[in-house]
Amino acid sequence: MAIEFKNVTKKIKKNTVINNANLTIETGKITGLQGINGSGKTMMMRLIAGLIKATEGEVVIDGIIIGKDIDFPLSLGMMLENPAFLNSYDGFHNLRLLADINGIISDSDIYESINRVGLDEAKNKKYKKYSLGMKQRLGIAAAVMESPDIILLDEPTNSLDSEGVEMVKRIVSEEKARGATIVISCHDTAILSELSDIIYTIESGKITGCIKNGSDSEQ
Amino acid sequence: MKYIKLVKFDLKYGILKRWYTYLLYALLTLFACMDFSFRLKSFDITNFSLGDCLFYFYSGISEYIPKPDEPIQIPYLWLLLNLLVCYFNVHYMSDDLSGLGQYVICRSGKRRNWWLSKCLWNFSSVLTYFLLSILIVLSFCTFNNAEFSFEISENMNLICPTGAQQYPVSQWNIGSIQLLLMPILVCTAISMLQMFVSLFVRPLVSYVVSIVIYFSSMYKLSDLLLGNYAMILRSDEIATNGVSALNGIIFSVCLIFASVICGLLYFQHYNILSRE
Repeated sequence: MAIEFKNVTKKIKKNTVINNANLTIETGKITGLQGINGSGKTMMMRLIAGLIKATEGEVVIDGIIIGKDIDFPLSLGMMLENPAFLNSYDGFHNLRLLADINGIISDSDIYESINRVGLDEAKNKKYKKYSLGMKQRLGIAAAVMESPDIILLDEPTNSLDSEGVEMVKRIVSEEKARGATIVISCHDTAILSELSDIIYTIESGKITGCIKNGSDSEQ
Repeated sequence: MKYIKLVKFDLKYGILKRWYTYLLYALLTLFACMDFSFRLKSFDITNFSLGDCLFYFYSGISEYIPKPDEPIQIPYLWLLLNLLVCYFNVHYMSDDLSGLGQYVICRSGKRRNWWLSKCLWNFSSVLTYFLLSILIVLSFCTFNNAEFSFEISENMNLICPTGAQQYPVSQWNIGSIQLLLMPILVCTAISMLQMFVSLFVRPLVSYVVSIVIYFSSMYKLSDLLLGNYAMILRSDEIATNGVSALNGIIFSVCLIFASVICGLLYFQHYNILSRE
């Protein structure tokens, strides 16, 4: 699932949050997005997810224009900003209510996702009693549980301890090996460099550079 | 198929999981029934009908003509029964645009599916509040051996303090349309409009729109103020210059369709962002 940004500009009210972005996210690769808060990383992910539409230009996934040909990518898992679930539900039931909409995975798949993120012991605990790290883990489980073709992870290591960070690295690698196209934004440059095949730097909505397999190039 | 799943999702999380709001509404209806009962007792009235009880709830106020020595008699019960439904419905759609709701939207396949599901939820929710209320009234009537008819008794001139005395009951020609259909239809239309408005502004601001409609209707008898059609005392079957139920039905249905279609078109380009 190659994702292309073709001259994409996004304006919200009078602010230009993405400014004439052109980039190609290759199939089966991990693409990192780097930039300070408010630089436009999350907006790029929202554009891919179909949650916002480009003011100018197109976001194209395998030849299909998001917001024109289809509203949302057909196979997408995401965790944008801070994950939020229903407080009165436990982890399993929160995931199941999401899984019920697509109806492509079973309860055992959900349990497996919970195990993958290390929440197996807390699967019956109410979400409101989760720590920040546990909430983050559940968000990651929600993003990967249906083995989607595209995975968007916005700051996946937020609130995680070192063990949690290792878990993220492991899951991202496993999903890449499965063939998923992954987009990650992360403040931690070291983690992003370690995980990503290519890293785009974003400043004030503009793509100002990219680092690919050790080589540095300006756009 | 996805639409059916979304509808199920909304009915489950928008109605079943919000059972406490329906319970509160049922309790309010029960208190209103008790208040009705106390008023009957205070006038030594023992017989009443289902129509009397519904009239007590949805009579509203007769036309208000401002006079310096006569302050408006606010129909608290009518306002509460209608505005509470709008209040309980105001947050769900908006809340579902952030957090977990964003995962749901992406799974909905089409923005159209999501909006239409929310519209169906809104209609079902209003209907549930009113049906629950009617169920309480029916139980109350059964318990008190009331007559199961929509006939309004002469005593209602005494019981309702909001202007019913002006019109002799013998001349009233009202039935299930004014007593049941109009309050439900008008509330659905206002709640739908409120949901559409909350695409532009915060939910509580959109709730103000509902408050303005109901309050302005209370102060002014006009075909253009929708709340008038939900007040039995403003019906042209009671007041000579009142509003017609047929106009109310057309107005409400048009407003419902306009809110659904305008919302559908607007939501196609709506920026789904975090509201935190």
